[in-house]
Amino acid sequence: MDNKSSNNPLESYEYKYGFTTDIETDQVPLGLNEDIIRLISSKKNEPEWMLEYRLKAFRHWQTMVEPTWAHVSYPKIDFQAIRYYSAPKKTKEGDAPKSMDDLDPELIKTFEKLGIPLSEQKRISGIAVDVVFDSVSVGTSHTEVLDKAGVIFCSISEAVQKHPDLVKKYFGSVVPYADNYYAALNAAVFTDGSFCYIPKGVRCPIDLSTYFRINAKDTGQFERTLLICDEGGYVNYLEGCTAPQRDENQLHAAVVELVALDNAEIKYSTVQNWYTGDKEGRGGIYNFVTKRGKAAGKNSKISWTQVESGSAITWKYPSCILQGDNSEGAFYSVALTHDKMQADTGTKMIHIGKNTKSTIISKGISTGQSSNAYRGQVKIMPSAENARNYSQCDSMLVGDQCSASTYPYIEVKNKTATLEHEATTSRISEDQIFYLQSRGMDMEKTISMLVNGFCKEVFKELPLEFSVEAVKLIEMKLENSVG
Amino acid sequence: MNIFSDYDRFVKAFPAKGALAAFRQSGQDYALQKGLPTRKDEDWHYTSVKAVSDLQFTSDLGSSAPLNSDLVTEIKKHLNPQFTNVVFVNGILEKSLTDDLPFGFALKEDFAFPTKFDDAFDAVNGAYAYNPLSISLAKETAVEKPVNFLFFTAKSPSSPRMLHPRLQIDIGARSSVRILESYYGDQDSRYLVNSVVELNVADSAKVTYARIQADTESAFNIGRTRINVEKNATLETMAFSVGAQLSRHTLEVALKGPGSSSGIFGVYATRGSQHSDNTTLIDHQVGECSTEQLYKGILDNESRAVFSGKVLIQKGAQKANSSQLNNNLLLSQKAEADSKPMLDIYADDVKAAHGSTVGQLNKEELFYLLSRSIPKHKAISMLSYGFLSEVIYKISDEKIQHWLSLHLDQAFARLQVAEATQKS
Repeated sequence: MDNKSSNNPLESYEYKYGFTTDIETDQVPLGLNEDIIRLISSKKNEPEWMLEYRLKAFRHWQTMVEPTWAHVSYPKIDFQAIRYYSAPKKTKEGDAPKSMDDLDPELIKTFEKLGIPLSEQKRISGIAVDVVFDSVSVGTSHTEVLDKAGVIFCSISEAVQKHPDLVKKYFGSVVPYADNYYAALNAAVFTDGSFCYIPKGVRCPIDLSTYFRINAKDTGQFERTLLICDEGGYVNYLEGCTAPQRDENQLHAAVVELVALDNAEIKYSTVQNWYTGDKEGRGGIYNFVTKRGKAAGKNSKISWTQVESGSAITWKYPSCILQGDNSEGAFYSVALTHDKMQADTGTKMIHIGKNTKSTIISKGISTGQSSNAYRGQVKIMPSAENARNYSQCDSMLVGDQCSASTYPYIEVKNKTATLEHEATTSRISEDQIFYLQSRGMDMEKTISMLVNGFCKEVFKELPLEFSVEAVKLIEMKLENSVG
Repeated sequence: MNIFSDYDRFVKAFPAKGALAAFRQSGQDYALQKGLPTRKDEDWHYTSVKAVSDLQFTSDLGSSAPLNSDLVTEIKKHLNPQFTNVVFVNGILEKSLTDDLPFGFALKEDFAFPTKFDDAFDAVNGAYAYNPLSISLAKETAVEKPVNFLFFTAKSPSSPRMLHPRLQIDIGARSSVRILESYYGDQDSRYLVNSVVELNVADSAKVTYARIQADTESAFNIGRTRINVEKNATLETMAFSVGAQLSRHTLEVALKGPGSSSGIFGVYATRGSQHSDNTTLIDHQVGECSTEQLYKGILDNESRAVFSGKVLIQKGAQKANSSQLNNNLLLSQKAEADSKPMLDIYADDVKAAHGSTVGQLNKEELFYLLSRSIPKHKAISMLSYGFLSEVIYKISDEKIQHWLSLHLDQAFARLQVAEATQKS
């Protein structure tokens, strides 16, 4: 196998979501100060307590220092050069679209290009979708089915208006604004996102999904997702994202909070395909996201599955706080980096309750001149009797210009805990390539088959539609990766 | 007041000229500018040196009067007649207890002072450098007896002592030698050892290096060992740590020539409120080197152990083969193990794996011994001993194996396994 930089992987791969949509937008000026926050808050017609929360977060953020410990490098972000709010203009001021049919036809076209079925008539995928375009949620589908089951699924701004008690109770309970730099920034300027509440004993009848797209120039996207699964509930949640191709970098600093009460189960899957920047590493999204789930109740379960194939820089650690006794957390991840992409991703499993269990399966593939790091923490608190963790982190290198790193942090404060961590790094086995080629397969197919096999443990955790998408995405990204 | 503040007094009491004076000053400047590491430094995330920075140490070396007979008896306990012993008492070479260096060794005229420091401890060692020892072993020489550099710290009448040993050894091509570096202290005395040892292993040489840290349990031991390994050399290292209230050993192995093979081993047993930290960096600068790493430890009472190991495979270091494993056994409910095995890989045709486990004794093994009517505390002790001795037997030299086993016996005699058993 010859991987000289001259026939570098992914030479002909192109981002197919790189178009922009010509839509009139309603924007706030560039920059960040208390007035901007007040403006965002007033645009969203928020109650006083929400504004207070934002300002508190903003004041705290100003005292914080930008973190630099990740294995990524990028020029310093100018937080004053970002537009913190941009929304597609509504036909009449203050008049929210009543159904999907009232949406701007340009917008619907955009999502058709992306393959997101917004129109309720086309029940292609049978998934309820909440679509976030730049800073606001533009529509939620399948509302009837959800209403029947008692599931609340709407944009977070709507939830602030209609379900303030739930929002007050859980908002910031898993990721407080003081948690980290980007979480504080998000708490101050978040514009929209999805809210979901699964009532007691309800198994959500259809899968829920949020779709994010950054469209406008210079904007950052700061969405906030809050998902609460009450006792005995179950939900399967999917998240997808794209952005247009632009030469400058755009910041995406989202916060996702999950709360699972007694016997509840949340499955959260992400296929992240933000624009990666071009071959020279110009442009692309900085994906600095805080995602955390709290398995607060007994026997609760939270699982994160992610396929990270986009963004110029990915810096995120979907985590689980295993607070309830017998609660379980899982993290399944595939991170593919190419050209000059950088990824520093992994998870945190904090064991607090008795008999808590966590599983980490992480697969990193680096090609081109990219760098791909796994960073994960497993912490067993003194109260976590009989905690169990299994971690496996495998990295694959394609080409001699890329790098793979593994940084696990294992902290054990209880002697009844059992922990195992394993990691390997290697390239694709020549024997396997030879075997497949001797069966008449071309190199491209061979590599894609082996990479898919390498990632299979993670892909099988994804819901069917996503699993197909993920396999295709990886195949597409690996096209011409070997010469 | 801290470990930097005795510098002026030290320079007056032990004046130096030329290169050493300049080196001292550069160390002091660096240390003052940088300050002691805190837990905010990524490399010191799990180890706080606050206990060290809060104390006032004296830089006094040696002792004004000749050694009294009690002290000599005490030191002699730690001498092994099968080794060539080089004894330092309170930082000064004690000629009456030191054997002649074997044939092939030579004292080097000039000490090759480094031009940069890794952290404040490295720099402080430079600031308080007193007569640093630099020796070389000629090429094609097989040294039969292991050479043991023994550092003994006696009680101090005033504030606790701090010692900053610095040792540099060049091993000639195709030579073979076994080197030990050992630390002991007088009864319950409190002191700080902050050592820097550099080994340069030339082509095809074979070196075994063991660092035995058996300080008193009120002492602090911060040590750094840098080893440069050239083409086709064979290296075995052992970081054996059973003493000190707070200990930290940083091992940096730089693989500079292809074809070398290294075994990097470590054993730690902690009790009480001891804190033991092993930090390693295995730097594959060129390809075709193989390294095996195994660190194992048992933790009793409220003690804490840290393993933070990094394997770096640099761009172009193809065909590197590296493994790293850290196993911890928690014997007590309040003990804590932190493990951070890291891989940083910049070449594609390599094999690298690491693993880490934390757990307790296998219940079936314990049951087997109990069913043979072995008391529980003894069974626990036997199993933990077996767990650690696996690493000791990785060292190929039998004399060193035996010597390490003796130290492990003593450490086990101190572990209050029985007590812990009853509590749990």
